[in-house]
Amino acid sequence: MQSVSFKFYSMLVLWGASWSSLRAAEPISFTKVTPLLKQHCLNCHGSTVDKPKGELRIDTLNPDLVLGKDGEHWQEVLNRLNFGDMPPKDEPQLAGADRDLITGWIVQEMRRAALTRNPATHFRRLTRREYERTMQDLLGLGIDFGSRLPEDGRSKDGFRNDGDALGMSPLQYEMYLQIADEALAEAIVTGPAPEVHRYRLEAKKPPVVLPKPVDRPGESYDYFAKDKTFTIGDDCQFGKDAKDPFPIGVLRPAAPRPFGEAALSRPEFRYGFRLHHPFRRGEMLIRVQAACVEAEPGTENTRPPQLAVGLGCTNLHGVEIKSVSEPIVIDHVEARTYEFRARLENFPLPNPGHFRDQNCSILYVWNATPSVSKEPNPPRLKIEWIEFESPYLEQWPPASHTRILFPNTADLAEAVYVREVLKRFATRAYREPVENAELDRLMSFWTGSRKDADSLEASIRETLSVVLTSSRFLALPASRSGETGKQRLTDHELAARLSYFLWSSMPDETLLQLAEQGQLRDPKVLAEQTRRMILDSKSWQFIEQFSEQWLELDRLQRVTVNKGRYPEFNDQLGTAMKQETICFFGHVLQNDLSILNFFDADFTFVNEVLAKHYGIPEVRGPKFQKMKLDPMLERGGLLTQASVLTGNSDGLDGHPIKRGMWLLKNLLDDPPPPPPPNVPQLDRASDPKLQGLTITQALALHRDSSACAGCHTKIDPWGLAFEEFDAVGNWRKQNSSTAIDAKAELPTGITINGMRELKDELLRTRSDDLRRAMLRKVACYALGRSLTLIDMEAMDTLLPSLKKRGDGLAALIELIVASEPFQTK
Amino acid sequence: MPQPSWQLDRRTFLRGTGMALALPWLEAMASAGSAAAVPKRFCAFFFGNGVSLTKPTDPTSDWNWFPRTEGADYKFTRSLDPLYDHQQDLTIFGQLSHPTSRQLVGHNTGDVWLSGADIRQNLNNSISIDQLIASEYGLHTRIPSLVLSSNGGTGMKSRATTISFDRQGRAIPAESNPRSIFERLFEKPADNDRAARERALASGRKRVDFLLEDARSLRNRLGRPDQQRLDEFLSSLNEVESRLTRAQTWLGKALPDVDRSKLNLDVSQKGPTDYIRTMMDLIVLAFETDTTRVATYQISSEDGHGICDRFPGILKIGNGKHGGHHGLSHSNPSEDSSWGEYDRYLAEQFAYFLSRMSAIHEGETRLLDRTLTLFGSGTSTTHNARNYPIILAGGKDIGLRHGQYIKARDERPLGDLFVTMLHRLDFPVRKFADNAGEFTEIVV
Repeated sequence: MQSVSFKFYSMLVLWGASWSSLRAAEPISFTKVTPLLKQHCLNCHGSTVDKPKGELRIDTLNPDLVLGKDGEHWQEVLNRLNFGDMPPKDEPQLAGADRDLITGWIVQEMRRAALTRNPATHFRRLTRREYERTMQDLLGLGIDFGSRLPEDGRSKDGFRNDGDALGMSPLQYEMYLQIADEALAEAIVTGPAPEVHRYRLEAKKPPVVLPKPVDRPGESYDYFAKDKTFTIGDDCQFGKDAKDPFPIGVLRPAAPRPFGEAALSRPEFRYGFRLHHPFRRGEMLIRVQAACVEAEPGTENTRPPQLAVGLGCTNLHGVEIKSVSEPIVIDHVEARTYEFRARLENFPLPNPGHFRDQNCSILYVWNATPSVSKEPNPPRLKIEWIEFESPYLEQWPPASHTRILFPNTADLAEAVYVREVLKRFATRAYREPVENAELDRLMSFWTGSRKDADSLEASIRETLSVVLTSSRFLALPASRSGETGKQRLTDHELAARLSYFLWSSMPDETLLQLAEQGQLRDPKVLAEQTRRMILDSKSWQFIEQFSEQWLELDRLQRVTVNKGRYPEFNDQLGTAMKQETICFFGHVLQNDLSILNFFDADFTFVNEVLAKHYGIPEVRGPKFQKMKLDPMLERGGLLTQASVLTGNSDGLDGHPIKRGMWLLKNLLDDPPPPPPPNVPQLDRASDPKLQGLTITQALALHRDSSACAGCHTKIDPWGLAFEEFDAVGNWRKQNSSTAIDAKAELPTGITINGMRELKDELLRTRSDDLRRAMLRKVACYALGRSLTLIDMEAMDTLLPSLKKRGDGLAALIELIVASEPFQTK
Repeated sequence: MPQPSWQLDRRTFLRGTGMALALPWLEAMASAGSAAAVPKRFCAFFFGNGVSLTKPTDPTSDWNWFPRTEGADYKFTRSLDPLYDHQQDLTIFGQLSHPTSRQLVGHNTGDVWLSGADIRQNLNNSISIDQLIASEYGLHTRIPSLVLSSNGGTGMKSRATTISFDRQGRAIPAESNPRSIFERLFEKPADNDRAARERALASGRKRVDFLLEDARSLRNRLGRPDQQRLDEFLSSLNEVESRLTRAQTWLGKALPDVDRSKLNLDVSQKGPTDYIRTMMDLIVLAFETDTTRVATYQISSEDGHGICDRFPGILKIGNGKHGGHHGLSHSNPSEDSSWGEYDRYLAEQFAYFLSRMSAIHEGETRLLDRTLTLFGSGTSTTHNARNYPIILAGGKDIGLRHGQYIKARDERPLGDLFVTMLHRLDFPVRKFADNAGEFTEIVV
């Protein structure tokens, strides 16, 4: 040891304790590594040579990666070992276990260093989604405010709400300024109510202009006055000639579809309007009376039709069209009325300027049931009529206006009134009480505006625009009161953290009131509120975003599925796959079911498209419904969901490495080290060495290479059990021509064969890993930052309580919300 | 790319890069502003319906738009030989196109010629390259950009009569009346315009001042790591403010003294040559007086729409037997040279512009040498949205070398060329539209 001048730090002893809580495996001690380095490296990279090879001396490298400065050199050592270039070929080679020991130690230390260097940062910009939801809730306007902001990045943990990935730029700030102006122009109005267009279309009948609404403001539009530019044309397409058995107003299945021109072609059968429309924004009310056409005598309807309503615009040959809602299954033969509301600015609009049939708005209704060629009795949708009203005004001024400019019934002087207006608005926008000094500054800004403005409303708009672009609004700050160290969140900050965690938006009235009264931090109240929020439909914001980001469901979009091998795969099926996982996660959460359902469950969610893919009979329509799973289907839990299996395939076949990595990384939080740089992916198509091999054989070859072996013996076995499922998640054990090799020896020495045994093994030995992984990942999302060592330890200590509470997902969230990391800054 | 060892996860790093790409040019803005002292400029001319392409064995083989040989020794065919005098000032490109529209009917590509947006599902366009440049260069001039077309307005989607689109992908109405363009630029640049802009700038500055103060007061109450995050807000606001300040400087400047008798404003689209040349004169004049540094002109739109479709007929090309420009594009160039003759006519007009730009000097160099000038179409022959005819001229003084016909071996993204142009104009972007790489072949 004397010749090796490694310096030891007391830190090494300290970490022994904390590290054990980070990983199930025992940490590797540096004392085990030193003899190996000495034996295999220091002859060329040590003190005994005059000129160390590659000018690298390993004996003087600081083994403390937290405080030391030799991280990059250790990375180099790691890369060389992984590649197998060191030790050189003509020197004694490292045994595999010894190589693993050194690389394992380096990776372990690098991770620890990264965690230690991560300070807890609380200030973070709202994500695009959070900004949009907050603007909508704050202003009461359902406009897609975020659509023109750039997409947010993903952090190293894979989440999009991590402040590290949420930057700010001058251009983005300019966009916030612009969106704020436009939003306030919509929210706060001046002058009388605009003219209202109300119109009814019945096929082959003269147009009906509906009179002024009795219970709503706005003069009805006079279509027959000379100077009016607004015109309406019908655009219906039913059967083609007199021999057609389908009467007027009856729609067979047809949907907008791509063609050789830009955008989409019109649905072949449709019922609709062309609107030479002067409005480019505002709310629109659409009403449709629809029924299912009774079956011909002697036949029966095998599938019901589906009502789709879309808004958009025309171009020379095609249309742009966006659905107003999910298609609705129409399974009744008596006519019923369906109502839809939509904001025009969220839909494609024609170019400004001259309106004509090739440059106008459209409103189409079609039958969205998937069409089946040569079906003898296609499902038929009967449309009695369509009505629309634009703009749809429930009151004037609109609620968005009176909510801000509340009626001045007390007859306050203008400045007193405005101060109150600003106070109420800023309190909601900043999610906390506004101090007098801040209010004074806002008032002095308003006073300046009022002088130049044409109206009180204009000056309020200008003043509120600075509230909507203040860093207090655009970000979640956490102000501190002088002293250093951890501080408790204020009640209002707690309300905001909770609300952005579960709802991706600002706290509602109830939360704000509880914060105001100082009750929210009461553990019982906080738990109650958490439950209430989980059960509220707004928690789908969390469900959707967390499950998508945690489980990397966006991989589905990145895989190009081979259409030749899987002709049944299309966008609709891809969307359904993703939706299954989201619904499944949502159900587990809202019913507080055990998170062990993620390993294996006896239910899932399917709609018609996905049910057909899975071979589940008798599921109709686009809506997802809970299904009990027949064990014969060999499905259950996340591992066998098509979203995961397809996303982790190469589009042609399953991909054991991706699937194994996915399992280790996301469900077990035990990712193997990253591959060294410049290592190509395993590509059976282009690598001559691998051609003609099965994936299992190719992987075995891959594992033989010393550069890959260390890690891949830890990854591949987990992925091989997935081999029972093909690239789009079909279970293929029974009907496959080539034998499936889904047998593998796990790193622990246990041999498993196939998915069933993998799940049993996970349930038997890895449940705690799943609990720990869930606690950490949910906490990471809840805090909007990567976890520090201390956070991780705090999460790990929750494990026994979680078990005691039956491993419920809602309970897990309650535990996190009650934890110190969640309540401090 | 040097990467510190603390980057534990190589794949995370790649994701991190992807994130940077999602905001491709946002961060680049500040540095583009610093080059403002010596003006650089951008100009684009578009025509629809593609060009005449013939086989070497055709009797009309001289009427092939692209030269027959590649490299520096190429010879212009008759379609392009009016550009002979400018050979050393331009590069001809072959096999460039926007990847996502290659499968579409070529008439749709005029909308996305300068943006490269994917319009297969909907016509959500994205910002066109000229408007990206104008977002920075426009802060230094009276008019941010000139957007012109022979048809005027925006037209309908998929057959737009403008080639410029704003940040949100909305069509920017093009101006088509030379007299009103002249008046707006040089005579009475609408007091309304000026007052409105003054008001908007003043209001903008007032707001940004408030927001800066607001952020500073918040900063005092944050912990250190939090302050660092907020500082990004502060520096963004500072930059927004200095952009507003820069935009204000032109307000005080006197109008350039321009003699309107030097221009022929009594033109209309019914006399195409005079009309097109006056539109070009206006661009030259706007550049010369530094009234703007960015201009686009759609000489003719796609398909058979509007007055510009009738230009070949008015010019008696092909004795009118093919109808308009769109009709010409459906003629058979292997037998009939009419279409090629119209290509040649358009090349003559472009040569006129290049001569004007070469005749005017600013300091040591010609106006052309600091102006990147694009000329071309979004379809090769009619309905084929590949192998766009593209010429890039000018810019010798800002790092471009010309004189070649460069034909990519496989179809290559036009975005590659756009990114290289943006680099020459001090926009250090890694990504614009659909580029896969850069076009280093023309860089000195």
